[in-house]
Amino acid sequence: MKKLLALTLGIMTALGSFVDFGQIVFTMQSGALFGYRLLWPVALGTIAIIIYLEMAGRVAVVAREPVFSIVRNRVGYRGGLLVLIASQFLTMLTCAAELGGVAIVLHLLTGWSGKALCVAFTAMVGASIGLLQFQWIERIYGLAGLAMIVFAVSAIRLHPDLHGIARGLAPHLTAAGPPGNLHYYFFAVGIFSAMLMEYEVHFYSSGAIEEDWKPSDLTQNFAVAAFGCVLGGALTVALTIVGAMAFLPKGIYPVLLSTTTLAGALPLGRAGLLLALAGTLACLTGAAIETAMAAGYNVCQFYNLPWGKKLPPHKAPVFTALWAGTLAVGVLAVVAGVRPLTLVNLSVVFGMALMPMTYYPILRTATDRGVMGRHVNRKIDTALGGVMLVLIAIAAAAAIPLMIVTRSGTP
Amino acid sequence: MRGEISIAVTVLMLALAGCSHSNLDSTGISSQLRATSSLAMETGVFIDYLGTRHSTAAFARSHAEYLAQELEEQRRKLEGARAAPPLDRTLELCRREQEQLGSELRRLQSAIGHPEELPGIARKIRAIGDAAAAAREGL
Repeated sequence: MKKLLALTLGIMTALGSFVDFGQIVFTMQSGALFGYRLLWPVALGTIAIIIYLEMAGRVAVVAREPVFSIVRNRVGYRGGLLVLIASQFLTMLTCAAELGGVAIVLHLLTGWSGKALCVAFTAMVGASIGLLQFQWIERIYGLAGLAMIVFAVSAIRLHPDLHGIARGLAPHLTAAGPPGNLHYYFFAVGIFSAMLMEYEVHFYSSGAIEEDWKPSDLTQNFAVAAFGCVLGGALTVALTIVGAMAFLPKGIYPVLLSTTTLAGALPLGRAGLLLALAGTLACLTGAAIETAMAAGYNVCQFYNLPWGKKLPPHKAPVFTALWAGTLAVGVLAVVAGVRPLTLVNLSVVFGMALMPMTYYPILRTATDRGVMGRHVNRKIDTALGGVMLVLIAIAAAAAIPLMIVTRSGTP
Repeated sequence: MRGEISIAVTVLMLALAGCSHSNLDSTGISSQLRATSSLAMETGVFIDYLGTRHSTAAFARSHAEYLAQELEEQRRKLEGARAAPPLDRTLELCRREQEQLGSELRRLQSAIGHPEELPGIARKIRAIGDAAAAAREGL
């Protein structure tokens, strides 16, 4: 039972980042523009994130070093500090975007002011982070996010073309139609990078230490990472299918979270609508918690300060101030009326540009026998990790130019 | 130093002027028409859903509000925009379609809870979407 419950770390990590605001809107837009043709970046992203999470989790467990401690050791203080600043900025941006999404869903659920509800809801979430043990945070928010399975049910109920889906899982180099290849590449890079959001890795590797995993738990590490990511990947495929079935034939390019939620509910009636809203709320909340906690983890690990949910707040003051402060800044952005979709686009694209800076140090550490001992990467792990590094570097180089040229993918 | 500052300020002023009175080419107008047509079709899907009576009152009111806000955002983007002839006529048509969509969205917001009014609104909104799509194809 304990091992089964450990899966919730993988579920929360994956659902909170695979199925966050950016991914929900982004994948539905890709389905609305290209049908099933962009399913392959979802498959590729799922494999990449399994490799990355497994490696980061293994390094954290064996070397007792989470991501930003490794970044500092491998990149040096100055380079590491630059990565830290950029990462903190992105984390804050993403947290604000997720809370913006929370405000929208609360408004859709109740009809009351989303901003006011978001302030109260975030205070409640903050209290839950402060009061609950780490395991309970991941169990509550991870399991609540499972309501998103309603989108998979909707996708099945819409009777998609299974051959088309199978063809979409194989990479296509061109768009084969409007709005053209540049948009196609932008969405391919965007989907890939939205699946590899930085904060999910930082949350996961810190979570492995929070849960006190030992080297004997490494099989569990792989199972947790793989299960969570495959579930998140399957839901992302479902979102693309729903986008392709509900929007593509009508020429709709969805830009509203409320429209994407409605698409999930179309074939399922009122219960479907309520489940889609509840699942979206849980995933966005999970993502906001992950980003807020990642903000605390990053700085404390970089400067070797006390961190973690096991310590009472007064013994980890910087950690506590950072996660609480990140939530507070996010709520302020919501109240100020910043458009969450704009923030999401920026965070996904700039996140990809930053990704090699944290991925490479983890890959190097995982191949270092002096640090990892008998848990060092096997040849196959290093080969796969190397291939992914090349793909991440290509996506990182292409992300910002494609965003500018395509005006964030607007057709 | 003073010269560099004045150049920077001039560039900034020109950029800002460009933002408030942008000159749209056919790609820009096509993109705006697509956004208008898409929003109209999105609204059509929503009205169909309202017809199934599966929506909650809160969702219906809030989603209608978001659709209206999105249209407002689109209209803001066209405020002060210009296009050279003959594109100026298409730009004007786009503004007109947005105007009509706005008035139908206002009708929709007050028609929530009155299902008998929905089919008429849906017809008009679909016609707006089709007109915007046809104008885009004509570019």
